[in-house]
Amino acid sequence: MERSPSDITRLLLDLSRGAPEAFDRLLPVVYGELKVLAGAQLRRERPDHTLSPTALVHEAFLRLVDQQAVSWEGRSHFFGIAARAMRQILVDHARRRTAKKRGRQHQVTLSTDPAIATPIPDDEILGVDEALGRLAEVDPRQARLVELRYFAGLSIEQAADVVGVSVATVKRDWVLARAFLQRELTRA
Amino acid sequence: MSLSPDRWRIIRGVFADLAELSGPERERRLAEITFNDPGLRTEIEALLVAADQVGDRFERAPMLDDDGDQPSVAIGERVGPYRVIREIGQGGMGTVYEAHRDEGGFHKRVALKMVARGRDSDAILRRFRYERQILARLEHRNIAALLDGGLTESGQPYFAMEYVEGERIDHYCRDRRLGVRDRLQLFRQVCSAVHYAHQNLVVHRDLKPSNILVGSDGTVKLLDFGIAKLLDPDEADDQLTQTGLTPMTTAYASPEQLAGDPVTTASDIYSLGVLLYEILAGRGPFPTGDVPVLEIRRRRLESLPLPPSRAVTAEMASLHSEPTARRLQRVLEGELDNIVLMALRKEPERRYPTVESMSDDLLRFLAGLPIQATPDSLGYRVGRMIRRNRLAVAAASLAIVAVLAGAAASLWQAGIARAERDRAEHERQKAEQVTEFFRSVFLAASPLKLGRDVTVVEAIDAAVPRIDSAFAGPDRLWLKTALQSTLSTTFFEMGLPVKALPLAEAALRARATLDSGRVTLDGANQVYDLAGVEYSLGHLVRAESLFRRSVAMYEALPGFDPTELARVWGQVAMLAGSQGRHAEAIDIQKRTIDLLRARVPPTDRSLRVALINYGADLTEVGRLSEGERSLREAALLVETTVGASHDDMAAALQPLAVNLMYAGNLAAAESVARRAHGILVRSRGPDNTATLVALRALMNVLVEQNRCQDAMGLARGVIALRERGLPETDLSLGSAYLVLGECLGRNGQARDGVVAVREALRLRLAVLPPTHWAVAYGRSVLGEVLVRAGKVVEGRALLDQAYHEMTTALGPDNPRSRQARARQERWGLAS
Repeated sequence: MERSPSDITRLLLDLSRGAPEAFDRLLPVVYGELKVLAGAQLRRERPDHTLSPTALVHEAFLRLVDQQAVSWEGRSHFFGIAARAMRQILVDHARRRTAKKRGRQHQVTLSTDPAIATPIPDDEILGVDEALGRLAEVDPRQARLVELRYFAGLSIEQAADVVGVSVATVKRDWVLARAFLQRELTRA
Repeated sequence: MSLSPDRWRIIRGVFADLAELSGPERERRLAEITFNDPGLRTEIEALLVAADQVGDRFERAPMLDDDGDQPSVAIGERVGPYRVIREIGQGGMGTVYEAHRDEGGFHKRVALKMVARGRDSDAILRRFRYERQILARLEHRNIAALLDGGLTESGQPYFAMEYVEGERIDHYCRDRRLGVRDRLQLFRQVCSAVHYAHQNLVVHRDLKPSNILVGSDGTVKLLDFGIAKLLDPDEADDQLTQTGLTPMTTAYASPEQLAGDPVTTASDIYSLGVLLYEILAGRGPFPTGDVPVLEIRRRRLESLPLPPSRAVTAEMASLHSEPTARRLQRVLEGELDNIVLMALRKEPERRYPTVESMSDDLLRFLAGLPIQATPDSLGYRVGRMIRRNRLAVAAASLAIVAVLAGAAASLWQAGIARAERDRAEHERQKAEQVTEFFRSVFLAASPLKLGRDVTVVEAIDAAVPRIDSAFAGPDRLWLKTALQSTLSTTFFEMGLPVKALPLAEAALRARATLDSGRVTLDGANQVYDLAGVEYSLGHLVRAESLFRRSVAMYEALPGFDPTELARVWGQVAMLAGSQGRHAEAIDIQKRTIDLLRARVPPTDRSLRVALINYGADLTEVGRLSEGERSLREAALLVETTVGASHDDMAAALQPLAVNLMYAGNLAAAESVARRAHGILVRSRGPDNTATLVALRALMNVLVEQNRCQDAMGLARGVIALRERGLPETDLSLGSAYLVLGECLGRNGQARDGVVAVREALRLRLAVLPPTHWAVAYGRSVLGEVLVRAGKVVEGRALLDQAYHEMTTALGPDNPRSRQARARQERWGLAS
């Protein structure tokens, strides 16, 4: 597998210099990297065998991107791409689990820690993914915001940074986006 | 219902405000917005209902969980010679099973570790074969033996290990509510295992509670020794760098591991520090919690952890045998804090030099004896801040002042809690005065005044002349000395010996006044430091006499550690060798190495330094195979202890390149020289003095291979640095002229060659004693080039003189003497 930090850094630099095709080349690379990293992290240091996308995306940024070389813009690009990749990964996981569950009714939880919150149901993940497709048709920026917040777990401030709008705007948009998701997911 | 983008745009503009309103007010506002568009109203109303229902849904990102990618074998299945009995657990690098091997009617029980998929099986196995000898040799009562390894039929790697029954060390301590002393005793067993492995040049790399089990009899067993290295995808078999997805556990990883730097014994010491912190305080030095990984990593790299005593809470104390948090705090405060923080220092070289020394310090603590770990000194704090911000602008430097003030305050608080009120007050005043001084310096050099950003180097430059007036008076003399000494060291470490020299000299003068004839440790250290600066400026004679003076001073200090003394002798020997007195140097080095081998662990830096210098001197006198052995041993020690991309590796490889060149193995010599040069280019930059020394070796190898174009290109690059401030005393400059001259001669431009070689000789004579072999070597080359230029008589005379001087300096059998002899025969005797 292709996985050299310098490659990702170089592609990010290309993207910042206005080479949009770099995005298409980056997505699969970042996707692959996140998968490998997630696998390693899950197996190694998560007592409950779960991992937050926030942690994963930040870890990936640190490991895969030469922070000295990329600008603020490159950083934004990276988080945008990573959020897209996270969405794919989470949706894939949810799909696979849903398929498995049909054969096996209950899942054994490895966690004994009561502090761990109940997991988000797979149909919510799949529902958000679909609703997001509809949202992207009318308002791509809103859709990106959801991707960053819901799938990559970025904070309001970070998301504002990546989208390039003010924190106040993101806060306002987020209220609407959540209402939209709620409506879409209850309607079905 | 499909959304229209126009309608959505309107909704987006008003929705957040509407959602905040309620009841009639919301109704009124909604009517205003949608009075002629009932479709819009329906849409918004539905969304408002949803907004009221949503609560905190969608605020939390879904967690990733284990996706069934785990390797699995069925119970009862055979894996190699083993039969799988049951799953023990998941985690680490895969799933662990209990398995049995049937041997002549009885079952041998093992823990079978199946490596997770998605790793490069071939590479893992290759590394395993390479390492198995070493790992199999690790026989220690606290280490779970690695028995076997291989691939399953489906090509999945597995390892078989001694089966260990026990409980994780942290749970063991917690569940039994062990007291601090019992916890320390357990921890010392861990130390004993890790130290033993380090002695055998095996680094664990992934020490953490889940890898450390305590059996019911209280015996500690460490699991997974050496496994992390086997599974490291970046551990190329001839590796130089390793970054990326190295297996490690972030919470226990050292700053250098997090930065992707090579992993060494010092990294294990750091992980042990984290473990001890956790065992004592009930939580880690850098609480993770909800903090993003980015932030965790930044903290680990930049901030200093709280002392464990300050991390204790009542809840944690209840899990100890100490009844209250206050009681537990009091046990930890001071000495245990210092021991833990010493292991957790950012700079690997400032941690405990070995695991054993850490364990010994704990033993001293348990026995009520004074410990060796000390808190960071003020001088260190100042130096660290300056170094870390060396390129920062003055605005950032003001932040340094603030941090200094903070450091001073915490120093004061930490001190006040203990019975060292006077010392603390003293330190506080010291810190305040230094802080105040820097504040004034940075303000004076502020961007407003110079019209542009000011680097810290410039600010310190501006500060230096003011030190005298700022710290006038006999009662502040010691502070002045300390400051000059710190700044001098700072410049020195930044590769600016020219700036370091006057400060080191001034510090020594002030120190002499302060000591008024007495021999003190600080005084001796100051002489030693100045010697180092003089050496790096190429002032070999002066440096040697200063090193010898410091030896005499150290010897006069009662109770001075003989190991330390051996280190200083090593420097004297190095200087003797640099001036061509190789036999003398070899003699001193031999004794130094014998002493160090008996007294320090192989991971101690002074041993590899001595081995390198010894190997270099042996090489120079033509004892090539002995020299090569010494240098290769040094390289192995460097790789294990500080990693293969450390500067010390370049220091070992550079003389090794010369050695191989003399032995006629030119291709290997070139590759080794390039590796050494590459390491230094990365760590110090292409123009650094040390980098140029490595380049010298490379140029010479190229000349030997008759690749004159390549060599000349490099030589011209060095000569060009002269205009960018490379001092004439830098020996690399002379070497570059020599290479250039020799190559011009071979290229049919002998007249130009003569000019270059004469310049080389002039530069060498300005630095080296006229009897030095390098001067003779220069004459020998000059002779050749003169003959080529048609000045046969002058040239031959020089060739004869050079050979005579060379044999006087080095003896007739020395490789350089033979080289001079060959030159004389070719260009002098016959024609």
